[in-house]
Amino acid sequence: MREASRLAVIGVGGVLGALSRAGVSQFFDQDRLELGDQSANFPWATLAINVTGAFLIGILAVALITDNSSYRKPFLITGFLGGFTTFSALALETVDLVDQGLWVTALVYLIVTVGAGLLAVNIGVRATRRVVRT
Amino acid sequence: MSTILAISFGAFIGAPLRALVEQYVTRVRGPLTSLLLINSFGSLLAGFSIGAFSGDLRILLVIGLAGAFTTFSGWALAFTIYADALTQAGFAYSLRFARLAVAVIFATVVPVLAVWGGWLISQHASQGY
Repeated sequence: MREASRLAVIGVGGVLGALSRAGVSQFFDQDRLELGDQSANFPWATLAINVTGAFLIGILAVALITDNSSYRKPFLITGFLGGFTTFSALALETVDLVDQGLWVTALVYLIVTVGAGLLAVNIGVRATRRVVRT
Repeated sequence: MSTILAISFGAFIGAPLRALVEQYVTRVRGPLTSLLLINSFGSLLAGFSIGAFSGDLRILLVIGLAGAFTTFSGWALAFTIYADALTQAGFAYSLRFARLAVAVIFATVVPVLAVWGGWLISQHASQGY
């Protein structure tokens, strides 16, 4: 029963995360790929979503490190940030760029996302460790 | 409105499903394998769905289910923890960097190939293979 409610909390967090992701994509006017329309556009929306989510997970992983009693970790980390950030859109957009013959753009997109994402987690972790210690 | 419902329904399945797979595979094979499996399988589903479905069903499967099942933030966090573990295990800097680079490249390229594979499967399926 406890496991079921934990999964439900993750589900609700995931829904809010996925809807936020869709909102950001729409704001950048980049929800067309999923709708089946190819357009030679750099996928700024997914890049912004994934790097922001990576930064936030770095902060929360440290801030909630001792928080085991509540539903905060499942809701915020596994649910919301897990549902907000996405690997499938990153992979889809990369294949889409390659399909349009934009090999260099595809490679740059992958490298920038991975590099900035890993950097963002590190910055989030280090900054929060400093704040939590003092 | 139907778009919001489709995304919500997909994500309400996708996120808890990721939690279950992550919990189980992490215990037996570790977090990096777990995320590689999750992201690759979700990307395969997304590639297949783009080729096989349209309308709200595609939105449900691609943006909702595959989008929430796969994760970039958890992936990036897992590699940060892996890098820390390599440092604490006392590996030399160059060896640490090489190990991390190989793992990151592998975990990036496989989901991309999975999208392509999923799309190819959908094209063959629609031709009646």
